[in-house]
Amino acid sequence: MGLFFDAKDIFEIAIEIERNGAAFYRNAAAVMSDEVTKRELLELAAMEDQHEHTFAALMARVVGNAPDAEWFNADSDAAQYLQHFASGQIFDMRAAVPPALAPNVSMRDVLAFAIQRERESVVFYTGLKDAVPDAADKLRIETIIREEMGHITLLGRKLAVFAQKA
Amino acid sequence: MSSLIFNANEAFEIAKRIERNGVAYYRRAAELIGDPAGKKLMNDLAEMEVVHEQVFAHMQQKLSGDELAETPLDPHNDAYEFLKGMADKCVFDPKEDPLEVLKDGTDAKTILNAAIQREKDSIIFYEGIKIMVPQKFGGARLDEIIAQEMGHVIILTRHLDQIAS
Repeated sequence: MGLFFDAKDIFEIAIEIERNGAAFYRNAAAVMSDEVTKRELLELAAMEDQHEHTFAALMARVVGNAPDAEWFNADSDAAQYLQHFASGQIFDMRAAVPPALAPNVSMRDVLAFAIQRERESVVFYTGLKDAVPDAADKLRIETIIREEMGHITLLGRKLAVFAQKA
Repeated sequence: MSSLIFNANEAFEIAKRIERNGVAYYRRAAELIGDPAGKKLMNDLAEMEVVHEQVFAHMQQKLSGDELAETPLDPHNDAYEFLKGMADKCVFDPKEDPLEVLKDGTDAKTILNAAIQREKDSIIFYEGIKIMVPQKFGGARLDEIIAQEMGHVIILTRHLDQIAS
């Protein structure tokens, strides 16, 4: 792939994904006229804030306590998988302000992009969960995965409503 | 799909369909890709998806009616809601024609990118099943399948890199 990301980089990417996810939802809320949707997007932003804190704490504990070589095998499948996502080659999850948030963006485009972001984060965190050695840390990441799935459910329902109206 | 009939059994039906679609996709991709290494890769991935479908069928058989109702890992129905949302096409359509993207003349890059997206969708769906289905009915096997699908993403990405370079 030509690039190499170490364990700290991987956690920083997770943190960046959450930070930019929160920014995305706040930007999306700002351009929404419907008050219910606006509030829901702000709630999603707040959850992404929490996820960012969780990943920051995980990084401090996992990366701070042991050299990568003791637990992060760069040649492992999980690490290789994370490299793929870290490269942003297929879908850049770190894009803070995507084209979907251009002026006059449709609700449908916002929701479709948000779902894509959430899907990519689930697959990225699935790899991260595989890579961390501690069972309690795996559970913490599993919790975040479940919450991101909840976001997909919520966003998918809203998208279905808009699709029916179209 | 009515919420009244959607259960773990239905989730496994969708999982099997995802795998069957994967097999059809990779076999057709193998026909379209001229490069022998790419052709072999597609055929190998098809064979792995065949095995995955068999694993899901086996797990499904092990679930009885009472066991289907027993979902202690999902007390708030989060996974249920998630899977149902996917099954209802809100997120992706597992009933889609897997060959739609594969037309004569489709280039290898398009084929590989679509394959990577398919693999990611399957990972997301199986993560949902894993939460919904009690560990004793095959959670470990699901982990293996998810790990293998992650492996497919790696292999496909490498091949994509080779084409790009």
